[in-house]
Amino acid sequence: MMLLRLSLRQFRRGWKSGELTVIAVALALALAAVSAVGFFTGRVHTAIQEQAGESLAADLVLSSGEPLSPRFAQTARAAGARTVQVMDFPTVLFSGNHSVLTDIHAVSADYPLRGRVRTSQVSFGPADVTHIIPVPGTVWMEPRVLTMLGLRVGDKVRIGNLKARIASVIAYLPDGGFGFASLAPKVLLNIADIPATGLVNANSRVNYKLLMAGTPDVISELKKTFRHHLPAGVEMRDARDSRRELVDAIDRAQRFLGLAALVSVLISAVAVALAARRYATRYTDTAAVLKCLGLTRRRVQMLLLLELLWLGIAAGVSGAVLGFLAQFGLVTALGNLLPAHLPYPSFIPALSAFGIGLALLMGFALPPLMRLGDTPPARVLRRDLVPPPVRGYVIYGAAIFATLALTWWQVRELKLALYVLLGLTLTVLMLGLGAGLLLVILKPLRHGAGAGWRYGLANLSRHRRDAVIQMTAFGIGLMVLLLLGLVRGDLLSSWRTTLPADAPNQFIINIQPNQRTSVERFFTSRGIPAPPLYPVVRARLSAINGVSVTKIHFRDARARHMLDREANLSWSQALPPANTIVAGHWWNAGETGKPLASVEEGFARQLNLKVGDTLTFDLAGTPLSVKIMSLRKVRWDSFQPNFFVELSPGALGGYPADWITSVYLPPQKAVILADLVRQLPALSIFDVDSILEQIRHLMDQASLAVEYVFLFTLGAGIVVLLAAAQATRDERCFEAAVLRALGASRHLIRSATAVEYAALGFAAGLLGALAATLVAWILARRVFSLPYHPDWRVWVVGIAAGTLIVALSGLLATRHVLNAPPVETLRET
Amino acid sequence: MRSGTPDNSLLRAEHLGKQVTSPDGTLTILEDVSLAILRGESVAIVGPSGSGKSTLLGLLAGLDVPSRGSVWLDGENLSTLDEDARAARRARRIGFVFQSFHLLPGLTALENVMLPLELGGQRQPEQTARAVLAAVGLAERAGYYPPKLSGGEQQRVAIARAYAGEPAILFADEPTGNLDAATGQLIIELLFRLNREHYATLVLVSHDTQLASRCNRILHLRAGRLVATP
Ligand SMILES: Nc1ncnc2c1ncn2[C@@H]1O[C@H](COP(=O)(O)OP(=O)(O)O)[C@@H](O)[C@H]1O
Ligand SMILES: [Mg+2]
Repeated sequence: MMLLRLSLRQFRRGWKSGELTVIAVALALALAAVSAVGFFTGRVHTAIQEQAGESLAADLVLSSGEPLSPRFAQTARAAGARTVQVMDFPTVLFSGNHSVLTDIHAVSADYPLRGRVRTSQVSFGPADVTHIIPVPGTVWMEPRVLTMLGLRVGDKVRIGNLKARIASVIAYLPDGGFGFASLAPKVLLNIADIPATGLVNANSRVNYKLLMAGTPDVISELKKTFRHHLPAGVEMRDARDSRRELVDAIDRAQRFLGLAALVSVLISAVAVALAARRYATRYTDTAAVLKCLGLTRRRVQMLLLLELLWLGIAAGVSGAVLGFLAQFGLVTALGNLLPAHLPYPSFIPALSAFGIGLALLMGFALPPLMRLGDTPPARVLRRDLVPPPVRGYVIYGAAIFATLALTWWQVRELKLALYVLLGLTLTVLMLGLGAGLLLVILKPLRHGAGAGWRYGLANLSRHRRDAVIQMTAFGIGLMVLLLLGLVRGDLLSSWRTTLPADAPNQFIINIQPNQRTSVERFFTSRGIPAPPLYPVVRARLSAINGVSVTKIHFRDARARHMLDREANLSWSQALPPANTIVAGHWWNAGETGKPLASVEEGFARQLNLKVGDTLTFDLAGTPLSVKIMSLRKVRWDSFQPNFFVELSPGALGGYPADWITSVYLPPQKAVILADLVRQLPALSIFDVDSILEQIRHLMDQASLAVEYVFLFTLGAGIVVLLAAAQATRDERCFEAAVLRALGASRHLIRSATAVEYAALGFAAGLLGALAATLVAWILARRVFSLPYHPDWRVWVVGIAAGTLIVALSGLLATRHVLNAPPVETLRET
Repeated sequence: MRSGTPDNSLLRAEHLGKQVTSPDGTLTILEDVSLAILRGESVAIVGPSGSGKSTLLGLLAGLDVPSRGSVWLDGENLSTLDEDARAARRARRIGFVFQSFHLLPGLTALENVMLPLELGGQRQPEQTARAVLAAVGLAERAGYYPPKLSGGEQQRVAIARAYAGEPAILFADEPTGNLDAATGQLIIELLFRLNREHYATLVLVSHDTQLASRCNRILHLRAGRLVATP
């Protein structure tokens, strides 16, 4: 009881006097980062849970890459379920000369069976629940399409052959998924309009769906009935499956943002450790007096533990409030990638933030404080008696244990946690070494300029350890921000420059056999050489060497995934450009009539295929067996149509194929494609540049969110600086007082401080830029196999930001040094 | 365990020795100090700076353990107790006043005085503390934090804190050492007055012979040994 009161009094006093401020701010910042991520992902989580029941727009869904037999719908209706037909496929939507890649969602009446569609008349305008589907000749679309094409409700767009009027803006589709799951915005269409588009034929990549809804009994009965009679390629999903997928996606996002927050937590931990050490030193006298007055060792420790607890609670509450406010920033950054309606967060993330706060305190503040229990009471007589130093292994052990626990808590996966820690350790080592080196280089620079310069740099080398810690902490923050902010864009443009300037940038697909000559003539009549056309046939791999693929076990989970989708087959007389044979040989003239295949080496590796194996494909019911004659290496970024499986020309017999081609058109010439679409409306044209633009936009938005979380890292760096400044506060005051007593002006002391911190920030910026460049180089060369061109902006921005932020924070942190009257300072000591 | 004949001494030291090991070898600070202090007595330990006065005081008060010999307080051998047990004896039986006041900066004057009362589990610590603060003439300063008080005022708070717990014995180490002469005089008066009122035993360390002369008895310390005359 008495300890409780005493600890509260001590805490209140410590809080007011600012002794605990740095620890509190460090904690609050770390917790804000963590809880902002927690609150944010919690909200998305809840939104998913709330909408899970309707995320299929049905209770049960069958889906397939081929039209579903009407038998399924009949069975469902006979059992008493309601049904809706859906066709999903990507296509490019035209408006004048502009186009955008979209996902067509064609539905029949009664859609959706669960949940309601909400629409509005203007983008992001007030939305109403609707009970109808688009009438034929009209479409509804997500606001993104309107923005990208500069359209509004009432305007016309072209989808294949179909000219349709935009009747509404989609505010919410129950089965629209969440934006981050799909690259292309959704367009809702009446399924009756599909023939009019002319976009769908046997070789189109369409996902056919049958939506079903009914009483739980009916649904579970249907599930049982269907489960045993599902043909290959037909997939059945219920609401639980779909929720699991979404939850997995958001879990991944949470883990990633959690990692970003973890960096702030660990840097804050450094500040906590620095500040706690100082607090312990300042507290030694109090501990001695308390022991002298008869407090036992245990009770002194208990007292400090309680004080830490109050600190944890105070910082925890402020951190949680800050985190709550900060999560709005994340919501803004990710904007339209999120569900339209986000419920309010639960307070669970705040609780876990408290846990993290306590772990930080226990791991980084407790060890130096606990030893105060061993303060010799005789210290009240002799100031030089100090408590025995804490053993190194206690300090490091606690810190390492806390770090591991925190990392695991944020990542929830041991292997990833270890990788993260390894990466972080290497980065810290690298930056720390660099910082040490820079200090050595700075040392001789001290002679030369004026007194302020000399004192400032001298101060840096004197507190070498602190300087290294601060440079490293800031360096990490700057590094991640530079990587995300600049290097990411550099890598993308660097990849683009590796593409030959005339790499095809337009893909034309869906060319019917009888349209081949029209397409060729279209180009030649405009003075453009006709691009080669390639046949495409969609088929499913059903057996390898006569063994059904359902009976084969693959080690790689991706293999299964590849088999679930249909493969594009093509045939060719000659080895296509951008392909090289790595095993076996390409068919010669005498072999072209035989059923042979050439397989891409990655595809072969995943499915364990070798030359001589027999593959059996299912072409809409017709089996086709071919023997593998060669393995090929493909340069995918040639932007030529390339195929996992090439067949010999005779293998397919007369089976009908679609044709595709790709062509390079300089931007000013691309408009001619609008003419081509006018002539042959059922063609689909994909503009690589605009798709890349869509990808880039998505990446920009996602990385904005991550950058936002990393801003806390920079904040944590500032707190480390504050902690270090506080640790040397008395010494600084004393020196400044002596200097001023000797006649130095305030200006000199201020410029010395400015030089000190500017040098620190300069070094941190230099290190951050260096590390960012190094990591970018490794990423480019090792991971993406790209040439990396160092970006001067990384250096300029890194160094300028580092110098400015650190110099300003440093001057702010030490302003009292200037303001302390020298007489008082000298007397106090 | 008792040694020698039973007597009515409150505090007894026998053959006390203190050595510390420093980088330049073993340093003997105290050697063979024996003394006995009676209940209600006031005793001054005087000697030049560095003669070991503070060290002796620390040993007598159980703040530190001797290298040799033993200290009896109320017939109990302090050397056989562990630090926690000694802490308990300090809380109940002993008051302290130091040269540098040693008030807790985080607590108000009143809270500082209440501290030993609360540690001793007293029922109404605030009332008692206010009364003692009033007795040292600082009733109005109850809510002040130590850094806001003058040196003399701080020492008065320290004296109030020392007597509030009704200690059997009070140790004072150079209580006027940090004060000017006039204030020091006031503090001395206060110390002796309270000591009389509380029937406490006083052990006072000083190099100020004038202050020492107000005590019943003076012990002279020279280079770690008690000597008969200055
Ligand atoms: N723990 C210690 N370690 C080293 N030297 C000490 C220690 N305690 C006391 N001394 C030395 O012993 C001598 C006596 O100290 P002290 O008892 O404080 O003397 P006084 O109070 O009479 O001035 C001094 O020289 C002091 O430096
Ligand atoms: Mg002394």
